Amino acid sequence: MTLSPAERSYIYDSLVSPQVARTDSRKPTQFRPLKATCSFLPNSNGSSRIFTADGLECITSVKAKVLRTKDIGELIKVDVDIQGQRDDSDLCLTTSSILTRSLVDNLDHSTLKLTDKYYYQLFIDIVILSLPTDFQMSSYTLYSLISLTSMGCYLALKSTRLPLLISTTNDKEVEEEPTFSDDWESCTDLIPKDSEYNPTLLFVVGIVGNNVLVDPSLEEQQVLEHGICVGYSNGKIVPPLESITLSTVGGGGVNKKTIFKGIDMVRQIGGVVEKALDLIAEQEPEDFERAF
Amino acid sequence: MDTTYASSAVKALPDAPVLSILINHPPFASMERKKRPRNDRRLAELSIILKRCFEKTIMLQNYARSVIEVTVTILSFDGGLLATCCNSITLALIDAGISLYDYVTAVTVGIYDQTALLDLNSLEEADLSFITIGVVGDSDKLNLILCEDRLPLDRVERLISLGIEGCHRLKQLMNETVREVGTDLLSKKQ
Amino acid sequence: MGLDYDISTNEQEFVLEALKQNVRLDGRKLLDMRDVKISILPSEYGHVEVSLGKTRVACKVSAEIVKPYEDRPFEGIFQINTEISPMCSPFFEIGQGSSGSGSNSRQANEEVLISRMIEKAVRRSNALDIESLCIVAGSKCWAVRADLHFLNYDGNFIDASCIAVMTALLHFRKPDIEVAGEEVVVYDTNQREPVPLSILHVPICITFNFYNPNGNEENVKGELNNELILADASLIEERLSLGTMTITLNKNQEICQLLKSGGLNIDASLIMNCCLYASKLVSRLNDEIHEVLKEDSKKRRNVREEKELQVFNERES
Repeated sequence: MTLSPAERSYIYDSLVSPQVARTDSRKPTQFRPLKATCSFLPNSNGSSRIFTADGLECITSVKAKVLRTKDIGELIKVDVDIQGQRDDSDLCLTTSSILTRSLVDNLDHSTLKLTDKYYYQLFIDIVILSLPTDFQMSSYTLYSLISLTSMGCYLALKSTRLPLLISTTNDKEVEEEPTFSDDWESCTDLIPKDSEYNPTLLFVVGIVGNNVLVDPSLEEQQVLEHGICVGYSNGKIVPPLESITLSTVGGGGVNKKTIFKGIDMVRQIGGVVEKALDLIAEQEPEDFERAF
Repeated sequence: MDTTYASSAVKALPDAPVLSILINHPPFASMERKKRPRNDRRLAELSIILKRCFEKTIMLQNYARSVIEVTVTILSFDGGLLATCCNSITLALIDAGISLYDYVTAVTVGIYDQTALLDLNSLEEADLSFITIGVVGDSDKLNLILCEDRLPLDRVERLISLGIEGCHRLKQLMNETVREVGTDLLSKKQ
Repeated sequence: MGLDYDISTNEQEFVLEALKQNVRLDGRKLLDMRDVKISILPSEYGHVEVSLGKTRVACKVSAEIVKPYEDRPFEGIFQINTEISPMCSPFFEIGQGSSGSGSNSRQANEEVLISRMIEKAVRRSNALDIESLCIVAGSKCWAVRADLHFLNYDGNFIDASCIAVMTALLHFRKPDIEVAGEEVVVYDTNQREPVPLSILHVPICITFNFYNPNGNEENVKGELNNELILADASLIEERLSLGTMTITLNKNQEICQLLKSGGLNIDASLIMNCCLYASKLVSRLNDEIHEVLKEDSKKRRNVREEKELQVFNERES
């Protein structure tokens, strides 16, 4: 969907004005409504499913495998599959590489550590069902996917449950393969409730004039001057912090004050989003089924 | 299992309607994580079989110059792949408001020794011979039969009749659900 | 199919009207099969040509020693290759196969189904004992491959190819070997008599086509069961048919594979009748295959004995 010059200038003017007026009357810090659920895949250790207002549906699955390794960089594998896109398309590769980096950079390796020699390897598979034809060709796709998939990962990781290790954690001297309890009642959370560690959440912040807005919609994206992707975890801004190709208009640079303004906004709303997602992750899947 | 719809712009539409069915098997669907190539022959075969199943049951004469695009994503696999695809496509088509002559329902029937079993899970499928049977509506006529294992000829009749019964029951259940959802939607509208 | 093969309305109606009166274009009755001709090339083992009316298919079996798959160290490898080229009929195009881009075209569909069907009938039903192909577990095994060539197309590729593959496998001889530890000695066919493959059973496909004299709606809604059923359709009949069913049986009355996908809805009792009729055809075809093999081995024995006599005579003089 391409905007006419008149529409474009109307939206642009209302976005740059000191009282930001967004097309769907949201506040600059407000997300569009989402619907999400967790742990709905019986064959995976953790899973999540998110529906967006755009009509996107994102399914994320986390599967854990025991691996004997020293190389901690290999422990997280992210695979993004987008309906109607080839596996090696730019979109799939970019999304999965941003996600992998964001998760690995801020990973608390002790959560994946089983014993001195064995680690859990996590396979995070993301499927995007039905990409609307409207945005198949536009740069908006990447926008909408980055924060959606990162929320998917967050929820899936939060809901990941692993079997209880019953062998010893110290195998420096004795060679022993890790053994697990058969009882799923006594499973452990990958990320315990009281843990300090939270997976990275990615936010896409649109910049227009001196204003910043979170979660830009398809119409807004077309008049944005710039966009940055900001990572957030546990009250802190974490990498990656990068600009993502945007600027369909003007093509001017960005004021560094505006970038800081964007980062500040993420710091503000990050905690709220985290809390909201945690609530979903704690919810029993049956509650959702009824709401659906 | 889940089906979604999207109409896509196809170059130079032929006069005849086009039905395309795509099956998507993400790596997490089975117990062991396994990545499948896009052009997996087995999935290609399944989608051709499904396409043929629905070609005669959709009132295609109403959809000239259009494309009906069905995408099936397997979320979690535990036996009865073809049958479940078939049932979910039927429901999705109804949900999309596409006119069908009747419900297409399918079910797997297996045999252990002398006992016929309905709807096998993946462990049972690995060890027992089974067939998939598809029926349109309440008739005793078969739309689909698929058997990939060795099976004594004299058992087939029993399996088929059990399968048909299973399909009829499924049709009832699906019909109830469709009507429930329909009434629900209607009440929201008013 | 690559090129669309249009059949004129007159011809269509003529064929269908004739079918209603139990007559087919080539004078057969509805359930008659065309004559099957199986010829084995005398120079080699495992090279067979099968013709079913004007449909002709050749199959060549070959074997080599390779490393087995890592997850199956005790099994050999068996592959069936099928590719339909324009040689058999201008309706097929090069590169339109399952690997090509046009995966939605009709020909690609047909080719996928044909190759999967043969694969399931022969390979999945364990017609060839692949465990017997193992030489040294985990390091050496026989890889048997059957290459199918479609020479001329006049309908019913599946039945013809299945007969061709099975006859070729039954006829094929692999070189004799001797295993001592990890060492394997392969004997030349002149040194030692080559050995046959271990075939557990002989699956044979029979394809039926369905026609509807009463129109589509009757088939879905009506109670009448007078759909016409044909065995071994020719090209025109295949194009006009409204549904097919392929059943694979062996002579122990076991179904190895059965596929009816969509098309007309057929009553279960009619399908059972088809199965029973097919089992009769299968036992007849089975006898025919063994007859041909027996004759061939007689011929070969004569040649061999002659050779031996010759050698004997040369030594005498």
